[in-house]
Amino acid sequence: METLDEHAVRTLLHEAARTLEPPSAVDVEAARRRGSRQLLARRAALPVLAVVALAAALAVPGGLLSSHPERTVASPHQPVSSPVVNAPWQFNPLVPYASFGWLPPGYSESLANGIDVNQGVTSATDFVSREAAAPAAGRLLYLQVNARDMCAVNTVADLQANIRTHGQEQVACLDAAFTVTGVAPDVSGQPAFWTDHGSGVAWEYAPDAWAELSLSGIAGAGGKAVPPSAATRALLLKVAGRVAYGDTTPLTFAFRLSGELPAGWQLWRAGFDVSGGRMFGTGITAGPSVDTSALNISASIVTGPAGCDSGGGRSSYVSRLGVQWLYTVNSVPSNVGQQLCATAPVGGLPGVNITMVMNNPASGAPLPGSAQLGGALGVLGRLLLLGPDPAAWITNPVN
Amino acid sequence: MRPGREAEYTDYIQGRLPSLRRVAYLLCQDWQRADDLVQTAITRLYTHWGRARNAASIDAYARTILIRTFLAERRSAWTRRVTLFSAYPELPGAADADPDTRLDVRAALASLPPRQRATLVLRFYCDLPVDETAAELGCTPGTVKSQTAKGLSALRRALDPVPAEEK
Repeated sequence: METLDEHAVRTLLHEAARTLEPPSAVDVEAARRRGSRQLLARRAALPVLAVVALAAALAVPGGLLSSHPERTVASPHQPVSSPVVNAPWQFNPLVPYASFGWLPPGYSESLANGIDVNQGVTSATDFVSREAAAPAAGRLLYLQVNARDMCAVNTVADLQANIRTHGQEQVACLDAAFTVTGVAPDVSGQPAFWTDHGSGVAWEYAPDAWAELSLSGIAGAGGKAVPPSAATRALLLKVAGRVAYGDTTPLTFAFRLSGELPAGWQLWRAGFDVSGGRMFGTGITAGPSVDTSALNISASIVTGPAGCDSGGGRSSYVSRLGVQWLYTVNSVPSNVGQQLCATAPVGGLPGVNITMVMNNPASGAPLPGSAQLGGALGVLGRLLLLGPDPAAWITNPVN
Repeated sequence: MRPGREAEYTDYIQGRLPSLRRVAYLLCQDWQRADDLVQTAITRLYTHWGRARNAASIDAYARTILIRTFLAERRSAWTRRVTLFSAYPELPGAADADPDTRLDVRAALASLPPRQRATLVLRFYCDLPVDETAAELGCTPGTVKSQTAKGLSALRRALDPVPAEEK
């Protein structure tokens, strides 16, 4: 029951908020631009690398693309995944830690390339995400496997108790959140919970390490959650039970950044797509721990007119690697940074949009280590494109 | 993001900006920091818009991001080391407001630990029930109840330091 004191506090707080507000310094457009840059490395735009691979695969009789999409899983796995004794605290972004071990008929990771329902497939230090689509059914499976201790769960017993008492509980992870709404049957012998009333399942695949699998509608076909049903739940449990952990297959990249990253910098994320059973890196994000997305390099196919957006900054052109790069310097306080963008024909494709973004802190103070790189232009000088032949591609894009 | 969603996002933010700023102000007690907090939160919301727009409540999703950004910032080494001067001139309050009360409440609120402050703002400014507050803070309802009780008690002490029996 609400007490008089609580009522008084409510009145006082509303009173305290009633100062005359100064004009807002929030810049919605800057948030949109900066958010857009952050998405570049992880969104599932149709990537050039996958398309090149697709072209290569199509050129080979009985190529890499299977006529049975459900067989396009990256590597063969045991039919049911074994429990993981210990999950790492941090994943290697260049080697996606987990994968679908089995997909239902009609679903394929290749078919999910370019479907913008979630944030795209990403291999990061704190999580790995994968997507598999069944366009005919208008359905998309989204898997996120988090590293150890990345999700705020006290104990499984606490979760169970809170669901009994309150019907649901939100679990926050470093890069996502899911709402558990009921206890599910174990997944590979590990405790599991239904999320969003049965359109997803979350399970503790190793001590203090959680994964979530959800089924949703593909954008354009509604994009809404799939109504939970017994069939949906059975499918989720079957796919979840066969997720493979501790994969060792690295991503393959068609570009290389020569030289070392500055001291204190590391690679935090890699965007990738799956095509013909192979995984192709579409972008990397690196930086110091104070700005983990300081440097972002991504490559995607251009489907319309040249997609280079100056974002309102001061722009000029720089010639390198046989193409003209649009070089933009933004100095808006909330969006200080440099961007290089070029559209180039690669491997017979109509155009490839290569974007490189380098943030500077809004304070104007130089980012630790950025001087060593020489800004975005310095990074461009170290960028090598490895051509359309996947045989020439590499597994370590920074060395 | 697709153009339609861009417009959807922009419309949403423009409509909700005043309320997000006020919540941020109550959390930070400083309009400049509040604007920085909102700027960071709406950038994160952009990158999660695909999920946010399908959430049961976009407002709850946006507020959760705002609150967690605030709490994460409070935990960071930077805010433990740096104390901003509170010398920026406050604009006067609304004409019918009691300036002393406002200042007292803000000072009392600022004296609370960040998590207690966030709990009180969600419970009594945003008028959220215990379970929704717990969901936004990412903790159990029991924690919300205990944080609320501690926060109210601390607020009472700060606003009225003389115990009732001594009056």
